Amino acid sequence: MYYSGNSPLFFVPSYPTEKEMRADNEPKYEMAQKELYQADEALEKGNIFKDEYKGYKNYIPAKLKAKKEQQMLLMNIQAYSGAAHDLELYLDIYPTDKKILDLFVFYSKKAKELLDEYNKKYETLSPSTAIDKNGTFSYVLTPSVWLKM
Amino acid sequence: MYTYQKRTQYPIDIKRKDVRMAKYILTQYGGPYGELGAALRYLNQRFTMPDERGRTLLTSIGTEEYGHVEMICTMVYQLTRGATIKEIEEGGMGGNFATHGLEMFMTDSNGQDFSVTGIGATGDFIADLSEDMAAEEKARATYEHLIDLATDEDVIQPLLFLRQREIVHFNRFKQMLEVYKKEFNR
Repeated sequence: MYYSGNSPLFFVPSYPTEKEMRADNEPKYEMAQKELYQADEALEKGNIFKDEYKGYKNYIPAKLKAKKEQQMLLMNIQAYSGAAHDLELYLDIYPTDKKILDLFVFYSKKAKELLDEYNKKYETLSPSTAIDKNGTFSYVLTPSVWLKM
Repeated sequence: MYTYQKRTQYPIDIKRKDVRMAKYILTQYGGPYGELGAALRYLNQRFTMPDERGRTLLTSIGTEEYGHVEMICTMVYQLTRGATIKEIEEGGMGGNFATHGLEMFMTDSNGQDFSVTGIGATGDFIADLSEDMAAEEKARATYEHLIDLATDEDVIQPLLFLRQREIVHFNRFKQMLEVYKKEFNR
């Protein structure tokens, strides 16, 4: 899963895009650019607040790349829901921080959209979105996490 | 109410068998500074937090720790998948196999069973949050030992991610503690 070199692979796109954030709210964009990693980098590093990242020795977090489209979408879900979760932990302590709250709503909404897309296109990750797939309960057709490759 | 998604917080895809590394990583399942202990510690401490901020923070971090338990087990599973009896013995997991077969059990890397005796539950939110900060540091140190022992990028990368989560959790507990100390004049 972790690659270097020039293989023709799907990248986890940097998101939110500048255009999208600017259209939404300019000051929020500036704050996010300055203080937060974008969702893909936050997943790679393990946190969203730039000033919290502390590397270990000379180890460098790998650039995550997916081998196929389904894996790319799953990585995007991990990136966006991870970003929302990290902001949530902060908001648990400071629930009236408007800037972070706005960003949380943005990431959380995006994560939900991606999750819906994944459920529709590939497989259900939860029983609540399972369907009757040719006579079988589709949740049982989704492999458990330790079997996902 | 808990809901579940069949996905990990960070991608795990270990292709190379390494029973010895699995034995080491098992300590973050059932060891004294492991993820299971963290989940139980935080979810147990929620009930005596002074307000909804602390209760919610402990619920959210405790829940994330359960996700990490599953990530650790996924790593152990993938590192031992398809291992022969000889490989299990050579990797130092013969003792585990004798009792549990190929099933994982909640032990540290030396086979010591999981224990709750090290989990703090004082009923005092200052003491509990201070203990949580220490717990995160102990878990971070353990991850650093595991990274030092690892040779495969597929193993190192998820360990780096989990290590960084300990740092984030430490910071959140520290902030919560400072807010409470100030507001409750403690």
